[in-house]
Amino acid sequence: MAEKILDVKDLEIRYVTDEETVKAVNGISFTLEKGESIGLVGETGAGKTTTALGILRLVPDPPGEIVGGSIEFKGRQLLDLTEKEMRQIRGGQISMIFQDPMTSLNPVMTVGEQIAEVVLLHNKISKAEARKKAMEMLEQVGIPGERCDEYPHQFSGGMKQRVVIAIALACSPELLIADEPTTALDVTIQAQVLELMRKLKQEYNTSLILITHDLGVVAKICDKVAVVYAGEVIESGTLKDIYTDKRHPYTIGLFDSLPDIENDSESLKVIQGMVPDPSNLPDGCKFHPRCPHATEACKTGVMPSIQVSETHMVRCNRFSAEV
Amino acid sequence: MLKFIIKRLLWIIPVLIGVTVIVFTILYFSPGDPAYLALGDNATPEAVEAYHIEMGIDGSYATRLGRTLTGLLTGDLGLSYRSRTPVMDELLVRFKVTLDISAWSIVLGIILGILFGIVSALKQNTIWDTLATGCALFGISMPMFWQGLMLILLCSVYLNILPASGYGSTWKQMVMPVIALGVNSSATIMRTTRSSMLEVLRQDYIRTAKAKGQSYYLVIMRHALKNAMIPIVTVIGLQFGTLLAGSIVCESIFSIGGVGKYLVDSMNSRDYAAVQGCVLMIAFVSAVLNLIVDIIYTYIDPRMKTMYNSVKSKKPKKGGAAA
Amino acid sequence: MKKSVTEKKHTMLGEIWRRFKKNRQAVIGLIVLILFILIAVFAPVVAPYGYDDQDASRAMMRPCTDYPFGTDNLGRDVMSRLIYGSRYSLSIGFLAVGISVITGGFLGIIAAYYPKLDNIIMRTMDLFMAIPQMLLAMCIVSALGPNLFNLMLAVGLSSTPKFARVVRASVLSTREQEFVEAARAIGASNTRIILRHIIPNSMAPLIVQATLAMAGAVISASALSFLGFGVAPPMPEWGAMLSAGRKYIRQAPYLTVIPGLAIMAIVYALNVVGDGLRDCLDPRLKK
Repeated sequence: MAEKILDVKDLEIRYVTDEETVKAVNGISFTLEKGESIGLVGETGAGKTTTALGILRLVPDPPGEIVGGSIEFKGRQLLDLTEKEMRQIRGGQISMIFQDPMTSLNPVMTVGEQIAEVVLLHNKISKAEARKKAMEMLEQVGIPGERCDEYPHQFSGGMKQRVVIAIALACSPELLIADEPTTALDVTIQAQVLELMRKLKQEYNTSLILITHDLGVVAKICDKVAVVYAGEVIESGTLKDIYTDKRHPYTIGLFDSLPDIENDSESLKVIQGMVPDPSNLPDGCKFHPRCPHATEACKTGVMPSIQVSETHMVRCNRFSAEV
Repeated sequence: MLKFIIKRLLWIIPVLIGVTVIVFTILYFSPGDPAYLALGDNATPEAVEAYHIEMGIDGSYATRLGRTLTGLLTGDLGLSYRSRTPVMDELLVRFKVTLDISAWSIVLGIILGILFGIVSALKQNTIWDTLATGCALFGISMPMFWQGLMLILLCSVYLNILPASGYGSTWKQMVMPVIALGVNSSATIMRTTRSSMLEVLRQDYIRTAKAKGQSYYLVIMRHALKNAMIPIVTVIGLQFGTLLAGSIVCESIFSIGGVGKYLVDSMNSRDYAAVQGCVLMIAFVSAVLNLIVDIIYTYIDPRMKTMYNSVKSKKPKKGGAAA
Repeated sequence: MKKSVTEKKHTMLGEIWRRFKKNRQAVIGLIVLILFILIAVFAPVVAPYGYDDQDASRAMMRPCTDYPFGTDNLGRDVMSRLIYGSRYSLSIGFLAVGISVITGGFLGIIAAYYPKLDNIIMRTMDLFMAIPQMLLAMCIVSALGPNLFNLMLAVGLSSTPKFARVVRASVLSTREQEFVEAARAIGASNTRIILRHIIPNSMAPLIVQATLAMAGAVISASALSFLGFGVAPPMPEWGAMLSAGRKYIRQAPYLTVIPGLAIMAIVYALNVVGDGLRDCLDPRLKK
């Protein structure tokens, strides 16, 4: 049994404004072991990014607040740490790759300075050494080191994302959170960046949380999958559990909506209905208004989480009888 | 970079010529013949003729404009109708005074404006923010001449701590003019700083910096401020012109013998040669100040520098993928 | 078809109003503004005395129940003069900005729409902008001669370049949008595209700019009058009143304090309304 590195339990995050309360994350739980990678899959607005920001305690406050649950990182309760202790973890032990490389880099600082900044923050070294380390990191992600004095606007989108990755990995973090790292990139660049991440992850033995709505990306990189819907994990398991033995109607719908080149059907299947408004979530199973199998029982109460196997969990009424 | 500065410096020449044409044309159509003002209503046609030739205001619109422009190139702004002395000499004596007051005012404006702008943005929606924005709103709503008069009323009439007028005999004479001019600018600068800072704080790269584990204070000082400065510098540049125009009113209120007071006096005595000289002088100074602002820009925003250097700079080269 | 368009407009205005009224400061500003307009319109009814009723026997009276804001050196009631004076400030504010919106708007649209003219127009505007606005207005007034209309014209013309820039930028960005492409695709003429599509859709920044420019115009006009380049006595223009009262700042400070407060109130109101409009018209700045 490998060492457990991250244990998120019943995490609840809300955005409270004068007008409404948005329940972005409603009791997400998952665990991650050293060197393991998990894919958080779900539609836009399901609360994946908020979860990630929650782990780093970077949810913008106000209006966001973490209202409940626990986040244990290597046995330490992150929610109880002081801001100062938290700062030592951010960028050092846990780091994050953000969605849009175009806006994630500071336009008025050279990329070298931006990488060196994180190095200096977490290591007791001189500025010259930090700069050397920054150049090394650039080389690592496939950018010539001498470009470290250039500014972000002199790089292409894919290059910028490489720089962001270099920043994230500069202090060899134990946990890397990648929030849709390839969504903003061209398809060809996507593959390069993913390959790079996979390679570096193996090299550094980093654990990874990959946030995406792209099931193909998950299949390429992850060991485990958690399907997130309306701020809850509705199904989770190993890659095999989810890809070959999916149970939850939403997961099934998600896979069905992928275009299939072999079954040349007339049209793509879509999941009926809309993503629920997180400021006004339905009672019972949050998916029931869109679910083809919904019954009266689904409209109230808490859905049971069912262990289909040791690794495979599903949160749905349909399977309660089976266990 | 040097090429850019020289190019911009040369650009001032057509601007000055254009401004001369505009001002000359407007004033050309002003009613009243300065000869009668100088010589009295009963002046003989011969005397008027002689005066015109002496002052260089005989001939058609085109010849006079031509004469004015050639004069401009040699730094000759013509003769004052009133004193029959070169306008340039009169201006140079007074210019130092105006520059002195304006410079202190802009310094005061920048310090107050940026300081309160940052505080207000960082403490958004608190009592400090409300207070600061409220004061700034009053600041931009207060006519500068009234503010000056209220200062006189308070400091000279009631408290009797500062002299109500004059320049040069004691630093105390500077206090009220500088406050009257500076507070007005600071209100505008403060509002820009606040909104620019709020805008920048929302940016993704601020989140990236926080995710590196950087402290709040340094995120503000190193990442936010430099980016926020870009629009602030623009506004400061615009403030120079406003400030120079404001000094016209300010100098009249506090009886300070600067360019502004000279302008008002010249206008009242229909000394259009002097008026034209003043306007040109002020336009020239604000053009130079704007050039300085543009140069400062390139130090703040590397994107600008690239733009200016684009001719000789190498195109961003693509780094080898996964070298 | 026509009906649905007006209906949509209606809800858009409703939405703007809903957002606007949440801004308490802006609503107060609007109320103050409306109050000033009413006072200006009904000045003869509201004012207790005429604006030029001189009476040496009651000269320089401090504020009291009969004369809430006191009287000036000629025994004229300051409050009545202020009430009549609001007509000048408001009309200068509105008309001067009207002039700059029309001239600047015209030039801006032409510049944005006809690339050949763009350079000439905008470089000329740059030249005008090299002269500080107050200075330009002073020159224009002195060339035309100081009176109310010329003051308006001068203040208006001096901010034409600013509006030309705003309108040009706004039109350029609107022009790129798909519905304009679509209109062009179905063969609409340039004039029609400008009048029916571009102008209505470029309005938001213009309205905001116009409101804020009104505040600036009121200040500029009163400053010019203060310096003696505006409305001549005995017209009760606030800046001119201030200038006249200035001589008596030691004996009768209220003669300078009160007109200034009036200017400030109106400018403040215009500024908060402008800010409020910007916040609710410009979705980018929404929190």
